[in-house]
Amino acid sequence: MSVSHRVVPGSTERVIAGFIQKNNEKSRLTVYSYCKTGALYTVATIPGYDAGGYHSMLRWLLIILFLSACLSTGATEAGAENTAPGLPYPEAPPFSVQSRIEKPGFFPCSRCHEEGDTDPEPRRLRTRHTREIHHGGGKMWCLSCHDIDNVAYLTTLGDRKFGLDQAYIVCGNCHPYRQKDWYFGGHGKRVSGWREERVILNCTHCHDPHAPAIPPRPPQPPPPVRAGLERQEHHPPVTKQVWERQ
Amino acid sequence: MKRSAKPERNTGAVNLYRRSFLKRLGTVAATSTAAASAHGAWGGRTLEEAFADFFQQHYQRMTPGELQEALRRIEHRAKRRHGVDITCVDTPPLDGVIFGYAINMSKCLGHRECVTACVKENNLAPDIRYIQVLELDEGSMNLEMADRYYDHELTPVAGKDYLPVQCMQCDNPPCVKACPVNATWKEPDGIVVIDYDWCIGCRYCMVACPYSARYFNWSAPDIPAERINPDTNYLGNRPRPVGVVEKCHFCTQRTRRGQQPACQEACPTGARIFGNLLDPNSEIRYVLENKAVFRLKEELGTEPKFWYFKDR
Amino acid sequence: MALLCFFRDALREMFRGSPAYRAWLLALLAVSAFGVWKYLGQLDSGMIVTNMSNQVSWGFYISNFTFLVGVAAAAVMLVIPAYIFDRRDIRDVVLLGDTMAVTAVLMAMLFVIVDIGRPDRLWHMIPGLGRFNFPHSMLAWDVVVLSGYLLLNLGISFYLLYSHYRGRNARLKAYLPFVMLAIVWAISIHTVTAFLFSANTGRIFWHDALLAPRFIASAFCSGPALAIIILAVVRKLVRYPVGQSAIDTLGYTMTVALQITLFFICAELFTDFYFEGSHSASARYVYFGLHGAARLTPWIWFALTLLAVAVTILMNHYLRSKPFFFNTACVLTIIGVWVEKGMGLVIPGFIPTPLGEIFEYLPNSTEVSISLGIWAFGVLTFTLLARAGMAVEMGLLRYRDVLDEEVASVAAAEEKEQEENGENGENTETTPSGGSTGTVRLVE
Repeated sequence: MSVSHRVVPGSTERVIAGFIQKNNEKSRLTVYSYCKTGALYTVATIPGYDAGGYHSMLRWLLIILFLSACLSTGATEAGAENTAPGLPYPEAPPFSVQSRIEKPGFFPCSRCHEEGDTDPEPRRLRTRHTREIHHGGGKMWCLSCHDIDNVAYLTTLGDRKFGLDQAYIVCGNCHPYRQKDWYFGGHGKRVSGWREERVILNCTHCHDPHAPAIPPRPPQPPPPVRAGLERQEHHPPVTKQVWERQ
Repeated sequence: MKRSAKPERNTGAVNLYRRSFLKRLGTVAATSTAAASAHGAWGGRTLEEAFADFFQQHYQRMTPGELQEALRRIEHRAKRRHGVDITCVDTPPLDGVIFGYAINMSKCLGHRECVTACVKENNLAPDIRYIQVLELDEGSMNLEMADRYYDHELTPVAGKDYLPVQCMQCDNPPCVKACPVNATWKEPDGIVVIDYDWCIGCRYCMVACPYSARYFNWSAPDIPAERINPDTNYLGNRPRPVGVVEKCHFCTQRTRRGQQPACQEACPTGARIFGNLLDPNSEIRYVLENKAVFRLKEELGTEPKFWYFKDR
Repeated sequence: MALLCFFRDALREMFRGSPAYRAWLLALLAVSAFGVWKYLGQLDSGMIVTNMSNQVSWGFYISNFTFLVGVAAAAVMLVIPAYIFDRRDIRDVVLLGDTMAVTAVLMAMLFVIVDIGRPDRLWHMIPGLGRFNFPHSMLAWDVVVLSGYLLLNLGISFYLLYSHYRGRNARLKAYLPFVMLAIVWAISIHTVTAFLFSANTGRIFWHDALLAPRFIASAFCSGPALAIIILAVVRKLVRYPVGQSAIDTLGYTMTVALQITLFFICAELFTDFYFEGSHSASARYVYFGLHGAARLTPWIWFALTLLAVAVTILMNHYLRSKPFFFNTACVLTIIGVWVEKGMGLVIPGFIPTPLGEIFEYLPNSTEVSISLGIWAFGVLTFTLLARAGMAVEMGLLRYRDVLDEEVASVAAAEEKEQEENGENGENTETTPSGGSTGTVRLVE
């Protein structure tokens, strides 16, 4: 059950250090790990965990074995983001996502947030979170997507954690058709050449996740007519619909 | 000629004058010809260049050497006309490639970034736009009600769809059939190209095109030097002369080197999908096989390689 | 040698005449020169000096071209009765019809050349040297049929004239096959021109099976109308025998063709307007205006009115028997067809564009000047060719040897008479003046 969520540019080494977290509410053991660029990903999720006893030791053994397996089998080839099991559309053409984490100006949430200090109560945030959320028709709030334990990371409906550069997996929870289109090239934008290695933009490149509707903006000017001629205004009348004509 | 009654006087002097006059005439003629051939009196060109320009053969008939010479002449001409050093190369088609293009009408918001990028990339004359973006009523495909000159403060406007139209690179192109001198033809990679040095400017191809996708240089294009893109190719964005027809060519100078066309690159919403139709894993093939695509005026049998679709 | 004499004599005849005639030539030359001057300006600046646009990419030049190809085709209306029905009276005037055809084809070719963006590249059309997209391109077909028609008519006319110049009858067996070919070819030139338009599936206004029959029908009323006017002028100015029966025959042809033309127009109107849709947008534009654009509307109704008046005159036996009304009907037909087929057909094909844009067009002064220049050049050519041709046909232009023989025979007859008459010393009929070149004055 090896996992690789690689982010370009070239992070080919995995950081082994990880942690195991117990999610007491859901009786589940989740093994996390970081990759070099700081993206967090899930190594394994083991449900039905209860502390102590023979079962506990067995599970610990399994975890260590799994970790070793992760180390030995290595990751998939650099650049391919969807070839790991458990991730959608392995049959989609391989791609890399243009990273946004390393862009300057990215505000690391860890500046203010420590692990585990997040208040889970849905509320309207103030201070640095004064932005409104125009996403989900008022039914979503920050922790719908951000992980409660580490707000620099996102969580899926299945409680899997992904870094911000893997937002497309999270977005796909609610937008599965868009996500499928995105994986195969029917949505989103390819920024590499048609013959080069496929590099595409993340959802958040175009859609601000807190207000994903793309706002109108001024267009480029209208086309000219042939030099020396004047534009002619011939507008067809606005046709009324049947119900407007009664 | 009347014969004079008086005998001719000073015949010696007259003969001398005649001889010196003729000599002077000869000198003038010789120097002017030499000057013309050396310093380019033929519209700035040398005599050899003017001859070579006039007798330049069709692109598909030129030997590699002739083609290279033609490319150099294009570069010289650009230097003379615009004062810009350009490079002009020949980009032959790639094997195993047929280009296709699709536009997601749900994502086209009518910003016309593609239009502007195309103008810059392809050295368009100030009054030519290869891409027209039509503003239609939402859900309607009635082109008679389309507005291509919309000038809103913000787009998209509610209740409107946006339909960018450019050369469809038809697989059964009526323009190719119409051209009397074969100045336009379909290349192996599916792009319909024009040899701008062969076109005679009869504009019959413009009459034949059902998509109004072709444009004529009614005057010599007056592009400011700083706006000229110096990376050009023969069948693509090289500066065009007066009196010839031109059109979108899917940016052959870019796409035949593996890059995206300028319009795809410029689109801010990613509404444009370009790729190789022969590659089953390409994005364009996914779109054609999984989305409800349609083509404009498909019933005419032109087999355009430009599709449209909507997400809903 | 005789050939050179033929050309020399013909050229001499062309430019010989009364001051009024010379003034006419000069006036035509002046207008042509003005047209040439304007065209040089177009060559210099590019076609931006015209009013054509990317939306309406063919304009006044091609409108005139379309009309003139029809006129050229209609010369066959004289050839058919002359040779197939063996009408001797028309045989006399068929040469004028051929001259009209040659001139019309020349003018049509000139209109195409002034419409071409790069006339310096016309050699690209030469098969072998260049690339000629025959048989796919209808424009290539048009080049072939027009050149062929020009050559055919020039060849036949030349053969006839030269034979008569040499004082012998033209051998029917030699030129009749070419005449038959010319008859078929005449229909083909205008059919191909119609196909030029109707081949375009993207232009619904033209993409019509009826377009070629319409073209032929309107050609066969405007061409004979023009021929009638020419014959009437010739009859008035020149001592050339133009039989009334020839004009009558042309008149019948013109009347029937005009009726058919109007019927075709009505058929088009019905098909377009019974149930309107996008297919009838161009028809609505030209007849009624479209969304505020209506620059051509008065023109088309003007043309239809002229044609209606003309057909009324022609169908009324009393009126058509009066030369004034008859000639007026001819003039109305010519103008009416010129407007209806020229601007009324070529321009609306572009409005609206295949993408639905309405961008109007009317010719500007440059286009009109160049067109007038070409028309003047055509009339000039016709005048010169007709003058020389008529001189030959009237027996006033003969090769010197032939004339010398006639002179010799006349002189011999004179001598004989003188001998018989003894000291009478009457003057016999004077030999034709002009001396050894054997030409005479055609008109005073």
